[in-house]
Amino acid sequence: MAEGEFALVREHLDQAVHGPNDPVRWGSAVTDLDFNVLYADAAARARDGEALMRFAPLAEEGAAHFGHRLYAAIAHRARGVQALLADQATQAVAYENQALAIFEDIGTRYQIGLTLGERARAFSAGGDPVSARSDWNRAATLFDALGALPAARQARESLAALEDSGA
Amino acid sequence: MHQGPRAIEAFQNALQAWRLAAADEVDAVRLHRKVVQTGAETKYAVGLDGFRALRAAMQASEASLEETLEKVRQQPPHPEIVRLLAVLSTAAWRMRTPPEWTTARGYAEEAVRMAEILAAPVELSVALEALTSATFGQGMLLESREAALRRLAVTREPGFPDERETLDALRGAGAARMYLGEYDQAIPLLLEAEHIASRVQAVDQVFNALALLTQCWLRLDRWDEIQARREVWEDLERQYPQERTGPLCWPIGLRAVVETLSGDAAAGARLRDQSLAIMVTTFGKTDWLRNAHY
Repeated sequence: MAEGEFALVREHLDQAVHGPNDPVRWGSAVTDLDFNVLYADAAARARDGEALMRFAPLAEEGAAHFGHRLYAAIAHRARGVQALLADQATQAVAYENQALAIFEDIGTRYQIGLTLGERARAFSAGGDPVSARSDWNRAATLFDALGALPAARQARESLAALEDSGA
Repeated sequence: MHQGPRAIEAFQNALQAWRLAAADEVDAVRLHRKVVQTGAETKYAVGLDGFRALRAAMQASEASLEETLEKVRQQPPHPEIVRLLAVLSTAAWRMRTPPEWTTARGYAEEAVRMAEILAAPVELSVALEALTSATFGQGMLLESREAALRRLAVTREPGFPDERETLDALRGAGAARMYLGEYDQAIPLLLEAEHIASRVQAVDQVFNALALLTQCWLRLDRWDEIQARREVWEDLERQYPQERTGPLCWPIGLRAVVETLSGDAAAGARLRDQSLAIMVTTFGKTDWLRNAHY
C-alpha cells in the first residue's frame, strides 16, 4: 500500500469510528473489533509503527475475547510486522508462525500468501535467506493458484530481488 | 413486496378510517406500529430523499406508540404489545442520532419477557430479533449470537407458523456467526436463507443472504464462489429497483475487492465507482454511518 493510499484509508477509518453503527440486515455493520483489526492490518501494510503500536494490541485482545480466529491471525501478523520494524526478527518470525498456523487451519489462501511474505521479510532480516526464498516461492505458487495475479507478481519480484542480492 | 412508501400511505389511510369508525384501540396500535416498522425497515432502501418524505409520518406514529405503551403496560400481556416493544426497540437506534442502544435493549428485553409469558413463538422470534440487534449495537457480540441462535431454535420448532420469521431467523443467525468469524457455520444457514428467499420471492432477503455470503466467502478467500455469483447480482440489479432489494453498494464494493486483487484493476475500479455512487444516493455525501466507510 502506498503512503498516500494509507492516508486515505486512515482518514476513512478515523471518520468511521465516530459515526453511528447500524446492524443492517445485509451485514455491513462495523464492530469495534472490525475497526481495530482493519486499522492494524492497514498499518502493518503501510509500515506505520505508531498506528501498529496503538491498534495491533487492541486487535489481538479483541480477537481473543470474541474467539475470532481469522482476526486473531491478522492481529498476530500485524504484531510480527511491529516486531520487524523494531529490529526483532526472531520475534517477528514467531508471530508470523502463529498467524500461519491459524490461516492454514482455516484454509485462507490469500492470507497465507500475505503472511508467508511477511515471514520471508523477517527471515531475510534475521539472516536466513534460504527460508526467505522458500516462503516467497510458496507465496507465489499460492497466489497463482488463487488467481491473485498482482500479489503473485510481487512475490516473484521479491524473490528475484533476494536472488539478485546474492543472499 | 418491500414497497415501503406505498405501504405507509395505506397504513395512514387506514388510521384515518379508524378515527372515523372509533374501532378497537389495538387496531390503531397495530397500524402505528406498522408505520414505524415499515419506515425503519426501508430507511436505506428508499434513499436519503425518500426517507425524509417518510420521516414525519414515522415520528407521529412513534410518539403515539410511546404514549400508548405507558397505558398498556398496566394491562395483561398481549402479542401486539410484544411487537410494539420490539418496534420501539428498533426505532431507538435506527431513528435516533446517536443511537440509544441502552433504551433499545430495555425495550427488547421487556418484549422477550412478555413473549415468554404469552408462550407466543412468533412474537418471541420478533422480540429476539430486537434483542439480537440491541446487544450487537452495544458491542456484545456473544450475547447477540446467543439471542440470534435462540431465535433460530424457536423458529425451527415443529409447527412454527411464520415462514418469513424462519427466513429472517436464518439470516440473523448467519450474520451473528459471521461477525464472530464463524464463517463455516454461517454459510449453511445463509445458503438455506437464500434458498427459501428465492422460493418465496423475497427479493430483499435474497439480497441480504447473498451479501452476507459474499462477505463470508471474501473472508475465507473463496473468490471463485463470489465470481460464480456475478450473474445473480447482475440479474438482481437489472430486475429490481433499490426499493425492493436494499442498497447494493456493500456487495458491489466487496466484489470490487476481488476483481482488484485478481488483477482486473479496471473492473475493480468500475465496481468501486458504482458502489460509491449508490452510497452517495443512499447516505448523502457527508455524515456517513460507520458502515459506509467500511
